[in-house]
Amino acid sequence: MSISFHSCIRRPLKAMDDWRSWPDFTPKDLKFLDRQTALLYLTTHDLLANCPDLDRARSAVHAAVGPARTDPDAMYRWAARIPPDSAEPVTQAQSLPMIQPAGAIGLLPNTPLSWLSIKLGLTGDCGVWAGFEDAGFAALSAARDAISCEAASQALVAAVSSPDNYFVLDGFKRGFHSPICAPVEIGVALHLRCTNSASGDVSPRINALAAFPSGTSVETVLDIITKQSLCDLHENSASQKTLLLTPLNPQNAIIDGIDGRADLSGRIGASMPAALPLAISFAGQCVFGKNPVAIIIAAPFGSIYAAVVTPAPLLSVDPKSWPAPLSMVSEVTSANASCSGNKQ
Amino acid sequence: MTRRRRVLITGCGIITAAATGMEAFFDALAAGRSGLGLIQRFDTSCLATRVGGEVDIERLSPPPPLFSSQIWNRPRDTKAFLAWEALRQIIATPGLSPETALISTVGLERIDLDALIAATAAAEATPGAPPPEPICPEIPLTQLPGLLWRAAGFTGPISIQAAACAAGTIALGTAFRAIRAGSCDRIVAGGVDSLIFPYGIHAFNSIGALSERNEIGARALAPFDLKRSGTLLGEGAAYFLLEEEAAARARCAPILAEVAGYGASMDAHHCVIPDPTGRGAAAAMRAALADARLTPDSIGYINAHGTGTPHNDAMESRAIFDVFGEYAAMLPVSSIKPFVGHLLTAAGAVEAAASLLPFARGLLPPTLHFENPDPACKLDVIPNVAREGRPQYVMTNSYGLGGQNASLILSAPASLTGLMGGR
Repeated sequence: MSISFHSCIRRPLKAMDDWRSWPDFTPKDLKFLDRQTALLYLTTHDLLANCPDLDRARSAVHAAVGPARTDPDAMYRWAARIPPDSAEPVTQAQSLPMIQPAGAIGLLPNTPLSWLSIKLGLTGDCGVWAGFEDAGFAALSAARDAISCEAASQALVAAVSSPDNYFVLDGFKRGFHSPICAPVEIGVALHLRCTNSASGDVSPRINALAAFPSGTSVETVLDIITKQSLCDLHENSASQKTLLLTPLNPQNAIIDGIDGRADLSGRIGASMPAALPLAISFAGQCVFGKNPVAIIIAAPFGSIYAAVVTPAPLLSVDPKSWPAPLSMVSEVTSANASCSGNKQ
Repeated sequence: MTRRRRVLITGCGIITAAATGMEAFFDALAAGRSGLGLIQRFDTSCLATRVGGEVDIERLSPPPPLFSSQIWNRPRDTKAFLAWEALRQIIATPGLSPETALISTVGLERIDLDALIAATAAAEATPGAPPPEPICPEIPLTQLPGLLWRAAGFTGPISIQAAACAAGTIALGTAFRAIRAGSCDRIVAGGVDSLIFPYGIHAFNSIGALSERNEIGARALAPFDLKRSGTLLGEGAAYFLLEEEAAARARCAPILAEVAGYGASMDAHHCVIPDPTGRGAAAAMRAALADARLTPDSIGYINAHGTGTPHNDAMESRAIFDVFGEYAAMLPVSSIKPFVGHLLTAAGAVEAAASLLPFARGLLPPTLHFENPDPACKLDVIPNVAREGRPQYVMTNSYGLGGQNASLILSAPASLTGLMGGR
């Protein structure tokens, strides 16, 4: 099965005011939102603006997010019996400080997906995948399998990297990620559809998507995704790119096994759950050229994820060897203006 | 009609407040033996809810040291003990390849408040010492199942499903689809969770989800009962080994059940309250039936989400009637939460394990503490004592706070021969 897609990338929120003024949210809603949820929502909203014919009841939605937005400071204050509006603890004789409903709901790791569903009217198949780079692959593969098993006609993958969270930064302190790859805040949304070569669909395609056990060699990964994608990814490297994203220390990562290939995370930072969707989106937009691109990610704990993307041949984007630094990427970029994908 | 790859359940590891291990769990369900009681692990005197499904962690084998690092070593979090116990039962399976993938739930992140408060007290006792930061002495929980999986020697990919109380069923459904679609042949899927700590209980009190009738103990959790007053929290873990049929037969695996169908949906209604119409829940059940290519009257038992909250049970009853019509009144339904408490992200996995009881013992699990039928829940609720029954197909439902819904249909292993050339 070949999957065509179009995508939307959204840069970091400049300030919380960016979304506080968003018309879909009431002041009461805003109490429940955090930056991760807001960015995921805005990215998906922008993508759907270009998908007027998307069936919101029959499309699967799989989100890739960071750890739950548990607030350690709030937990500490509560355990120490310090009310939210005070610096002093209450006495033992008094009741515990209340946890505001927003704080309780913020504990739920599915809150970002819940808001997507509520505000965008999405009622189809679903899942929310949490963690680091693994989450992006999990969301993509679950979306693909939902289409493959005919549980959904189309699928949305919404992924967000939002480092404003204690538990994300804690992962960096513990060495899950290379210290040279700072975490970045970015949202990516992909709209996936089943396609075939006879359909006239000229959207970019995901030709292969696979996971590999830790320790798998890069050559083995390339062998397998070459067979899956029917694209030659070994030779003629001048005409194609292999894109590597590795959050690990480069000395231990598979990047050492590759000559003359690109390390995206070294250029833009660690985009964590958004890493694989972001690389697929960039590849689809011809950022790495117009030939098939192999993407390989070495995630924390060694799992390896790979995809092959064929860029859209008719996209008018000039090929670039590298993505621009994120500070130069426009606020919102959209790969395709139309959901139909058929430009003929 | 094309032939689809078949997905079999060939192993299960489980730990709950009611029992550890599948046979003991089945024994507890058959005997109507609840694991709920007054929480002993910490002082609950300041909490509105003091009853839950607590596991005696002290008697469990400690999890192995994780991730050779100077930053941490042996995990101390309750979830690490629970997950390790359930995984330990699975990874003993002969012939399980090291490349096997893991799909797990884990629930919310948290910090070790006891350690933090002790550090604060120590700092306060030392004049001039800086106040401690809120620290996370433990491993980030999102990473915990993966680290345990690696420590057990497995190299396969790891995914963490986080759709709140529907997560366990979504983890199983996702594994089912991945195998059916041919992405892989074998996955361990399930979940672990525990909210048995003061902040977690108080947080759920604050959203009005928990019963505060401590004076009646475990009986405070009474799904579908007219006098139900909320749910009670539990803790535990359950993991299943799912295998493609040929892979399972190649290693002569015992077959506990077949996964026949899976469906999921979203309410698009509210971030805590379920859609009272039950549309989302009904959509998930219909999707699972369609996926299994079954008519509603094929289902012989429903393991309900049945939280014991007024909102959920009325909504779920409405949804079951919506999907099953008049047949709903004679379709046996039960909730096993009075046995183990609400296990949140692990609930779907533990309840899928309970759904194997009819296949293993010819018994349908009861709904404990069911005494006063609720006119809003006119289901055939199995009251208090397990009922004899050997259905061909059972359905298990899970609904997440925030509106994610999931339904899974399991088929009796006896049906496998008849289906060999079928679907």
